[in-house]
Amino acid sequence: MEQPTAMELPTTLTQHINAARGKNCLGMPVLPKETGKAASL
Amino acid sequence: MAAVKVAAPKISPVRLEELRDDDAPDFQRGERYDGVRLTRVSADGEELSGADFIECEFNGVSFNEAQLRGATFRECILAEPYAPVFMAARTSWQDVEITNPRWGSAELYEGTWRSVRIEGGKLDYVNLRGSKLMDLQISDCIINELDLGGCTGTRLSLKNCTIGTLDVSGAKLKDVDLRTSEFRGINGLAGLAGAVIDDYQLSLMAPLLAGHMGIRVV
Repeated sequence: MEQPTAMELPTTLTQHINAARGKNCLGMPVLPKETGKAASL
Repeated sequence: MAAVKVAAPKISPVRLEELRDDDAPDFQRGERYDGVRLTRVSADGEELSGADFIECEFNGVSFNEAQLRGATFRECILAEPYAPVFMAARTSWQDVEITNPRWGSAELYEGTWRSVRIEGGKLDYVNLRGSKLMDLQISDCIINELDLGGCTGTRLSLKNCTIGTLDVSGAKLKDVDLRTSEFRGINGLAGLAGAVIDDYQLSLMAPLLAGHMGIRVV
């Protein structure tokens, strides 16, 4: 089956991509298992 | 020109034995899943933060909008994983084979990847910002936008891939082999230090490199 090109992406997916673009964890709380410590910023 | 030696990714083959088929897994946050085979299962929208998947096989599993933040995949095989929205920030991937993934927006920032092979598939946007990538091979994959901003990449190979835009702003790369892959645009050219390209790619990048260095071509 032909995969959609970037131009044919559904609007909602384009919105998700725009929201995810350039995003990193700044401001996200850290899970205890990620640090071995209590959750903190 | 002297022959350049590029250290190839060191990929450990994944061999899974005595897996237990689970047709209706009970997905739980922070749970450990060990030695399980999941086939055509939907994990859409599930809360799987901090889950550990050890020696698991996923066949055509859908993870659309599942929250996988902080999850671990170790010695796993993922065949045709599907997720228009793949939420997997800070995930850890070690000794993993992924074939024909279909991810739309893949949030994989600040993750850790070691000995991972991705083969085939089509990915629209892959956010690997701030990730630590060691021994990662991506081959025969179409990626519209690959964001490696702030990444640390060692022995990373993009083989026969078609990449729309590659962002390497602030990346620290060593033995990163980009030969045989096509790129439409590259952001953060200074971050390409440590990468290896071929003559043809160099000729295509020449205008970008000249612009980056302030060289006027008249």
